[in-house]
Parts: sequence; structure tokens; C-alpha cells
Amino acid sequence: MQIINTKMTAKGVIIDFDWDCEFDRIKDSLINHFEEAGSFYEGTDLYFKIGPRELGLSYFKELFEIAENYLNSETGIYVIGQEDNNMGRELPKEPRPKRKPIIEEEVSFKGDTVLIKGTIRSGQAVEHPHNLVILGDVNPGAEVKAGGDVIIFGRLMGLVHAGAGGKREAQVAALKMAPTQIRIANKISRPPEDGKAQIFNPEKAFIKDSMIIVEEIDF
Amino acid sequence: MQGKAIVITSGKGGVGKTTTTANLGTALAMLDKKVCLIDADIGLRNLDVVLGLENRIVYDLIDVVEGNCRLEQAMIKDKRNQNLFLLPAAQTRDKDAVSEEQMKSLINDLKEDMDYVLVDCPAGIEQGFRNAIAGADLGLIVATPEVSSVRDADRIIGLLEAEGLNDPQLLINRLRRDMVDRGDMMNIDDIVEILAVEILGVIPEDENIVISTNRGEPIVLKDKTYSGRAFNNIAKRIEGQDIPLMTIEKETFFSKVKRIVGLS
Repeated sequence: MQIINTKMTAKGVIIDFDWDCEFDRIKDSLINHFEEAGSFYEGTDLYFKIGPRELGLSYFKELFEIAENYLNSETGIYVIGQEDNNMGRELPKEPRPKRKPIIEEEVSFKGDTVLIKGTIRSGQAVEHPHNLVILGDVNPGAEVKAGGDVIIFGRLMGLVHAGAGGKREAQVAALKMAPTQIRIANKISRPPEDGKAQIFNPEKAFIKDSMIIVEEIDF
Repeated sequence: MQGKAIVITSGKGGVGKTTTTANLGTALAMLDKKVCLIDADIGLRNLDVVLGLENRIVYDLIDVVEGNCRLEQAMIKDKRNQNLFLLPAAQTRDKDAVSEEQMKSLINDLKEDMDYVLVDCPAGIEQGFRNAIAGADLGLIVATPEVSSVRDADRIIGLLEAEGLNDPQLLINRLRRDMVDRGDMMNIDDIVEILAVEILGVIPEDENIVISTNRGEPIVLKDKTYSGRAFNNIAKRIEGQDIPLMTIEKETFFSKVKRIVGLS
């Protein structure tokens, strides 16, 4: 088996590593691969496949750094689990050791979260297997669906579904909450009919006791 | 029960198809009829907003035809009237997501336990229009007293007849009595003369309509308003009651001039 195997899919390119090799050799092959590929990966997303055994966080960080040297900022880099063949329906299995919580966040941000700049308008649908950050409004009639959290730096007026794969801990946060509907995991809620009181402070929505609760974000 | 499927169409946009669908549906439901409204305007849905049911949508018409849910799961019960149901359109899809055969069988299923199925047709004469009229038993043409609207209505009547939907009925919307009296607007007779179809009703121009659609509360709930009463009368006419037209024409300056010039 080669050290690096690539596979094209509709969503991007999956890179699988032979984790039985020494890590330095894996790194070298990755560098060689990017050298050869040139601008091939521009515009496509890249998915690193996690090995069957638990891999240290620092290894992944190094792989990400290599990749970032060769790719432009528009290329998304994600991590997917070994068994996760239909890519993105489920969250990846935790690949990183639990004892480094702070940097873990950083990697998870790089790997999982997609940033969208601009307003999502009526009829537009945005879907992502992990976390979504939107710099703009979500207008009525727009649909945002994510496997993880959804954070909106703007007004939420449309429909948002967080934790779409069933993740009940998922949250929705927005600078102004005026949604048509909020869904988290398998729960659906809509704002009260007489909701005249407009709150202009940022709010977040989450599941508590099997109900979707919306409350002001306390800074 | 074998209900009647009525498609509300116009060709031209903005003449009041969605408002008419919402109000006639509510009015028929208030007459104790079981009514289902179908929004066939996939990708540009509005009927849910006009009815104030937007935030209750979980499944839509496309989910039903694609088998993601059962028909009953997608039907939203109106918050004011338990005889009224809405089958909303999908907003993030387009008109090609459903076929004429699928619409036909969907409407036939609905007719089994509904008295009326009202289909809100999209503007235009393309796929969306063909889907909307596929399962209909009757065409209801909405036209405003404008030359462009009447021209489009005429085209639509031709297309409906080509599809075997004969004898469509006409609903004239946004008629302004003062403008007709001044001779600045086509009157009912002018329109009927051009289109040569049976007239079902006339809705006067009414600013209350704008308020009611913005609030998501059909105007027929307010029988005090002219337009609300007009819609209620039309619903009764659909039910077979003999209700005279509300706007009674007196001899206007315009018709006088026409008579003198010999136009009528």
C-alpha cells in the first residue's frame, strides 16, 4: 500500500494515510504529493482520514500546517472518521487526546467549521456536516442546516436546524433572534405568536429538558 | 367524498392569486367545508405567509411527492379554522422538482377527503403553471382591470381550454369604483366582453388587503370590509348560492361616451 491514497468524491478529495508508517515518512509523502499536485486542489475541499488508532493532536497539527502551505485559503480542510464513508452525515470520531483541551478547540475549529460571508436569502439553503458561522443575515425563507452549532453574526429571521444529525448539545446563536423556526436535533420550535417584544441583544438557543430554550447571551 | 379541485391562476403576476386563494379557502372553510390549499409556486412560496402559517412548516409538497413524509404530515391545519389545511410549497427547490402526474395524483388523493382543493398557481405559463392545472376540475382566472392583465388572462383561458379545462370562471380584482366612474379604468362589462367567460365575482381595491396579508390574517375574517364581504360572497357562489354582484354599475360618464360614440 502506498503511504498516501487519494480518492475523488462529489464533495472533495479524501486523503487516506498509511498510519503504520513512520510519521516523518507520512509528512514527506504529503509534501511530495502537494508538490506534484500543484494547483490541483484549488477550489476543492480536502478531507483527511483519521487512522484506526488514536492519533496525537500534534501530528494532525503538523499535517494541517503542511497542507496550508500549499493550499490557498479557499480550500477547506476537514477531518473525517475511518468508518465514516458517506462523509459528513455524522461528526467525526474524536481523534485527539482529551488532555489538551485548549488546542483541541483550535484544531476542531480549523477542521470542522465553515465560515460563510454574506446574507443567506429566501430560497437559499446552506448545509454543512459540522459547525457553521455566518457573517450576515439569514433572511425569512432561507434554510441553514448544520451537523453542529450555528452561529450567526447578523439577524436570524429564517429557519435554522442545528445538530441535524441528532446532536442534542448543538446550539444556535445570533445577534438578533427573530427566526421563523429553530430546530435542534429532533426538536422543532417556533417563536410565540404574540412575540411583539423584540430583543436586540444576542441570544442563543439550546435544548434543555427536551425543550428548545432561547435566552440572552451573558457576556 | 369527492371534492372539487379549483386552480386559481392569472398568467400575470401580482394580480392577487395568492390573496384570492387564501381568502376563498378561509371563506369556504367558514361555510363548514373541508378545504385544502396547495401552494404550487415552488421556489417562491407566499401562501403560507399570507395565512400566517409560515413558522409551522416542517414538510412541504416536494417532501410528499418524494416520499420523505406522508401527505397528512405535510398538511398544516390553520390556526383559526380547523376545516382549513395548507400544503405548502418548498422554498429551496424549483418547479421541475415535481411533475404533472405527481400533482394529479396528489390532488386526487386530497379530493378523497376534502370538499375543495384550491391550487395557488404561480405566475407564468411554464412548468409551474402546467403542474398547477394538472389535477384541476375548474379554472378560476384572476384579472385586474388593466389591459396587460386582461391580455394575459385571455392567453390563460386559451391554455386551460387546450388542456380540457373548459368554462373557466373570472374574478376581477382591485376594481376602483371611482376610477371606473371617471372612465379611467376598464369596467366589468369591458373585461367580460373581451374574455367571454362567466364572471364569478368582483373584489374592490381595498387597502385593508395589504394590512391583512402583511399580518397573515385573511380579510374574510373581517366581514365589515368591502373586500372581505366580496370574497365571502364569491365563496357562497362557488357553493351554488345565488348572490348578486356587489358592485352595481350605474351609467357612468365613460359608458355614456361609449354609447354616444357607438362602442356599445
